[in-house]
Amino acid sequence: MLQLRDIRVDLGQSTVLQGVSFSVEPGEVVAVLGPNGAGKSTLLAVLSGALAPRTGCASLENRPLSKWSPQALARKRAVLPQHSELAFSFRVLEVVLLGRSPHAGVSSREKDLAVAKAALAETESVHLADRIYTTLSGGERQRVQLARILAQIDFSERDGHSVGRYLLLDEPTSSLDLAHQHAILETARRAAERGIGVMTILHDINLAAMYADRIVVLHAGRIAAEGTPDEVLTEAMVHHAFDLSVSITRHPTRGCPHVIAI
Amino acid sequence: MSTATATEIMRVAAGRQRRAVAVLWGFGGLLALAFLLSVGWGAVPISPGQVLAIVADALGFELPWDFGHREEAVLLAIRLPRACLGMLAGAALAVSGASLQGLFRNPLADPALIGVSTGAALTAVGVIVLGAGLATSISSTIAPFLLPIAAFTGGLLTTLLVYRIANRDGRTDVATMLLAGVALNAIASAGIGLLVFISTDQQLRDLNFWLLGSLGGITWATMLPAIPFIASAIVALPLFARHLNALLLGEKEALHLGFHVERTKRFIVILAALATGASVALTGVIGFVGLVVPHLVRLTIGPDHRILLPASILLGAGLMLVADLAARTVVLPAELPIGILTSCVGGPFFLWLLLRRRSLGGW
Repeated sequence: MLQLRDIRVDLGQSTVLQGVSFSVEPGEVVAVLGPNGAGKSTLLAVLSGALAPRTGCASLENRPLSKWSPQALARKRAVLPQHSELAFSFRVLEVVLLGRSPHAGVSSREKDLAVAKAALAETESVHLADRIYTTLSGGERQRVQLARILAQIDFSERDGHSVGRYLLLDEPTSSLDLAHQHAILETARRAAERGIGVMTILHDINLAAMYADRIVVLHAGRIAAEGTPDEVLTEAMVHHAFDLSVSITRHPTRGCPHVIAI
Repeated sequence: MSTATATEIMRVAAGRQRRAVAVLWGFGGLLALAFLLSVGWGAVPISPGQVLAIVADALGFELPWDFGHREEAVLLAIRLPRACLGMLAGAALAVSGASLQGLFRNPLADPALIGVSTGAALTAVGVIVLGAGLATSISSTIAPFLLPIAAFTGGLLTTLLVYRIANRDGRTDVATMLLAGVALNAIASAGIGLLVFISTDQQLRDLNFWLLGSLGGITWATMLPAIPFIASAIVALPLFARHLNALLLGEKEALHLGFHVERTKRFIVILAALATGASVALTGVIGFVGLVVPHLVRLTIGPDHRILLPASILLGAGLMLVADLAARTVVLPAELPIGILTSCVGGPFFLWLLLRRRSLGGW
């Protein structure tokens, strides 16, 4: 379990997160929603171990993140950046193999290639393997980055729920077309079915309602609501967190809540 | 997944590896050829067999090629130290250029272009002009190290400064980096100008040739103190190949991949400044080698630092010898400063890169 207990983060003079307790369990998709500046990215940075909280404890498998070696931690959790700044002409296969970096010395080249191959297949990008990364479209790049982080945590291995692995996605669907948005989140869903814990920051409330088991709403550095989409997505809650009047209906086929701005 | 796609990926991976090996051998062959040409070519021609025989003789072996005392003297006292310096400086500039480009995530980070070489030159000129009194007051065992250490310090300070200025929130701003380089180059050049202004006539003559970059007039004795600096960087920088690969994704991404990003950055900056500083101390400012060489390598085998760094070392050493050969022969009997030659080739290359970038959208 990837867990935050009573986290407080200060950046400069301002408090960005306060009293945040939060966890990601193996096999679930948790969506974090909230307006700009609510502290979503900071929450992800703390969960990833990149940022140490000022007070409180961030832990993986009941062991503080600061006690993990960076390499061991990297084999357990991977982070999908909002957009990557890779501007050098790596081949797609090489980009995915970069995800195998934390396994250097532990894994073999055959294993690395096999995992990279499976990750490309999982994100439907096998045909891109020999393409130059910088010539890909935004949607294709995001799929390749997703394949990279899947390869990083050995996504295809099945294991007991005691030894979890986690994906942290930072607005994975922003600037993607509709089909790619759903493709990325469907891949995240499938990863969860393999026992991987997924946390994703999302801007689109309806995508969260469709794909998340649990939704956490951040507002001004605190957790404003937490629960299943049905519990969290009420007109009052959305109005409180986003300062927007909405009407909530049902998704015609999936039955999940559907938010419409009014 | 169908087996067709599986074999496809294996084929891609195997193809890349074969190509990398072929390119490394090719560059190695080029270096060997350039070396034999460089030490054999000149007023006293020396054949490859004689080169081998003379070197073997100096080491106490005997080989079946005849050579005279004249060949031996020319090779051991003039051509060999010059060729060694050329290879060391070329390798040092190319490998630090390639590493800095990885660190800045930008292929335009040439040590000369972003002011590192000029910064190193400023402190080195300072030692030459102001250090005359200093050198007599310190012990003679440290004196020969003074110049490389000064150049290293200057190079290190400039690298750190450019990095600080150009880096914000773990991202390097290209325009800021290049403009900071322009500004630092201007400041360091002004400082050098000032030192040249107050130098004596004798110092001026030494400085002038040196500032334009030259491999001439080197002896084993003057080269020796700088060798450990350059050699350690050439050996150590390739050890960071995987770190640099990850850094190309971004600093945060490298951190998430389990690398010690801050520690890595520190090592790379220090090693690159060591190599650049020490080579500037010996040869003066030779521009664009650190830009052109890694670029040529990337064009042939892509940006993977595990191959890029060793290949840059080989190609940098080889091209430096070729450039020196040209500098020695184009205006016979005089000798062109090699820095002028590399800038003549490197400047247009840089412009071509900029225009190509516009149409391609990647490096």
